[in-house]
Amino acid sequence: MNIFKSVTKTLAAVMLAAMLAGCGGASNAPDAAPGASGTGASGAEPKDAVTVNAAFLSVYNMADAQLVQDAMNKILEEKYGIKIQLTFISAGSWREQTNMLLTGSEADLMTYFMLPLSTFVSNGQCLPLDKYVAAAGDKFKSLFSPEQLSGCQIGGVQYAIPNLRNYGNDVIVNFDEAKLEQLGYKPEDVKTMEDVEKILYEAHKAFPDIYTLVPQASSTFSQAWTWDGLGDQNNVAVIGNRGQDTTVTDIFENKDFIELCRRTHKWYEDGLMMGDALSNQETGTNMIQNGAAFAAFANSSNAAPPAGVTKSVIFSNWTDSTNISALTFGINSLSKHPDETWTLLEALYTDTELMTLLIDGIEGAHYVLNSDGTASYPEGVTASTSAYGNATVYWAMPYAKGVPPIVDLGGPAFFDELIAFNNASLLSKGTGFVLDTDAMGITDEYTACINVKDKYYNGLMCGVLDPETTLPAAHREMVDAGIEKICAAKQKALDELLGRI
Amino acid sequence: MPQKTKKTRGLKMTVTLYTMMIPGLIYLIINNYIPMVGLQIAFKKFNYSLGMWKSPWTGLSNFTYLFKTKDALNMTINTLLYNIVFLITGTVFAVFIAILLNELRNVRAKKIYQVIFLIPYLISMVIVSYIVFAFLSFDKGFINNSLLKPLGLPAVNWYMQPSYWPYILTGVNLWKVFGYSSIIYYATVIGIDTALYEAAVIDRADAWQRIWHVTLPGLRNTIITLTVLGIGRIFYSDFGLFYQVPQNSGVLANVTQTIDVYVYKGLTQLNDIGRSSAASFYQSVVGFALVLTANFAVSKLDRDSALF
Repeated sequence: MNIFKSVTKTLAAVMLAAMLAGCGGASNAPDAAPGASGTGASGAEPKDAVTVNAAFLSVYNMADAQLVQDAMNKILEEKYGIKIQLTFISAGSWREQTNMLLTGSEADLMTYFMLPLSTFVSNGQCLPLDKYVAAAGDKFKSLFSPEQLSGCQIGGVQYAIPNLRNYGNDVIVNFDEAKLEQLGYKPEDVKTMEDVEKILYEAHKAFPDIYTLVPQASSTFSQAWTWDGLGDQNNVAVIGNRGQDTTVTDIFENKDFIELCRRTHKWYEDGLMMGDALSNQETGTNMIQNGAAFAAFANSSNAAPPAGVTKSVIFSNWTDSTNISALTFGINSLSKHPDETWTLLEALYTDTELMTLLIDGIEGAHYVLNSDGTASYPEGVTASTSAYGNATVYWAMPYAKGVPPIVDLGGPAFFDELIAFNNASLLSKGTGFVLDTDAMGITDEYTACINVKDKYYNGLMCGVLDPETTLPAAHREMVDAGIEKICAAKQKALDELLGRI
Repeated sequence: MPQKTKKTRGLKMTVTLYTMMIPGLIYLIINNYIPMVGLQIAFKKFNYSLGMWKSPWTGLSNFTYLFKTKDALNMTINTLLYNIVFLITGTVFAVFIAILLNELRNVRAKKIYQVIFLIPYLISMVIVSYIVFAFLSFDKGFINNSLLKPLGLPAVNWYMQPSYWPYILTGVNLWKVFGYSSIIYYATVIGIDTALYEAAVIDRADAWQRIWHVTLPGLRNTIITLTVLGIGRIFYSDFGLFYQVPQNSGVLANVTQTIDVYVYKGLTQLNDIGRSSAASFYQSVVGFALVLTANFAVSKLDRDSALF
């Protein structure tokens, strides 16, 4: 009994002591850091290079990020007097992790992705960059046209810098290359929806055992078509005709949308469309490559289609109002080193040596240079098995022109062709449109309309729902949810935007 | 003199016990009470660069979207009805299983059953959604291909027929959770004084009467406690169950839309922290009020069964 008591007492005392120590330590820590640097950095002592924490998206395993970081730091310290800390965040947990990251000052250079830029700005997460852009070097200034830069402005303020990827998209059909040839067609013969329809019916007869048409991915018929959601990818209240119309309508009243749904519904009724379209789990190209499907609509840049697949362009290259700002780079508004962060940002757009390290990795270890100027993963290695498979993910990095492109993208001139593709892209009239639902006073209506849209959008586009009965019902529900107020607010903002230009 | 020593000794013992309580208390304070400061976000327009304290107040405007539309009413009704059905079916079935487990004499079999019952509870909803898909897929699913086809019945496009989904979701939920609660009930059942069963046998009670007059009354308090706690969560819904399992099929929205799904869909693009907080504030306040009411009702009927 006595022993038990003394044991409990000792235990309690130990716990208490541990806790007090814990609390003390926690409360001391924040004081200690600034104090130390305050006393240490006085006088002419050379200051340590500031480390800029840069958050990037990763798709593949980045086990060798530390090696790349060390190699980059050698150059950065020498040339720019700063250091970089690479923080790769995987796409799967991007939303949660960046949300946490942006509540503090830990990250300096930020990738703004997966949410509209206007959302980041209205949440106060982006530092205005105008003074930096104005003071930037000529090489940086020559990278983007004023229109492209204005795609990342909100209220005339530059909040982010676009990166090099396809801003615009061709709306295309992917076909099984061999089967299309068997039917006697060449991909360049297919130009309109009527052509596609004719071929799909023939393919349905010729290959009855496979799906004739499948969605682009999961239950999405095609990620892009010809309407522009004006600042959001939910497509609540849109302008049609590749963004060239100037009247904002409910998506369920949009001419292009109605026309497409009537056509796909006929296809669905005739058995051309995959029956499971609304609960599909795979991507269209996968199914085509596996021989399970004949065709799928999609959106695409100038990149070559994967092996065994060929593409025909139905609506050529156009850029909607959100594409340019869909993935951008900027400075976290809470960053403690905004100037150094800009130095790094500019270097990642202009210093080819650094860009190559960041994108392709270390030569010999992560890529080998081919004689034509392209790069390949080392023998037997792919992007997903590499310890630094970032070359395929150039589209999520700041700037890749000058970096050896990975060979399957299409050749040594791939990045020049990509820039030409962007410059040739038809810009939506809504480019520069800012959707700030709070300022417009339509947030409540917006949340309600997104939920209504979600009920019918995929079902109608895949042709599963009958547009003759569904469209009027869907529009009625949208009206109940407040679509008219949203259209009016967006129309007003669009008119102002068009008047200003 | 001896009185005093006893008192000091008692005090010393209490001090020791209270000291040992401190870690738990600190955990509670840090984990459950300090975060409540964040409740203010529900009444603010949150701005990351200003932080929680400096963001401007907006009154109740963050709450309006939860009540404004027809869909908002629909999602509230869905959440409530599903939870009521889940509570009733879950309790009845779990108690039933607990009693069956108790009647089982083979100890080995008992343990095997318990493990099997518990497995679904441990599976993530995303995996469950694929298991369900394996059953219900239109082209390749088990039900269409291996059950309906041999019977000569037409295939059903499950993900497009809202009328089936209240039953499917109830079934999936029951399958997933009954194992866990049946083990709680079973633990209570084996705690019932065996003397009561012996007395019942002496009084010539048959198995059914033993269950009715001894086991169920013994379970009463546990059932009431779990049910009152369940009522507290009646405005929450299992997001995975209502979003992943129906594969987010829009056609099913009218029967699968609950408060959590609505908030998720409506706010993923807007990333509006104030409005998301408002939704959970609303859910927990209503849940808290319902727990108080339910407990009050229980204590009116029977003082001893109430939680507090």
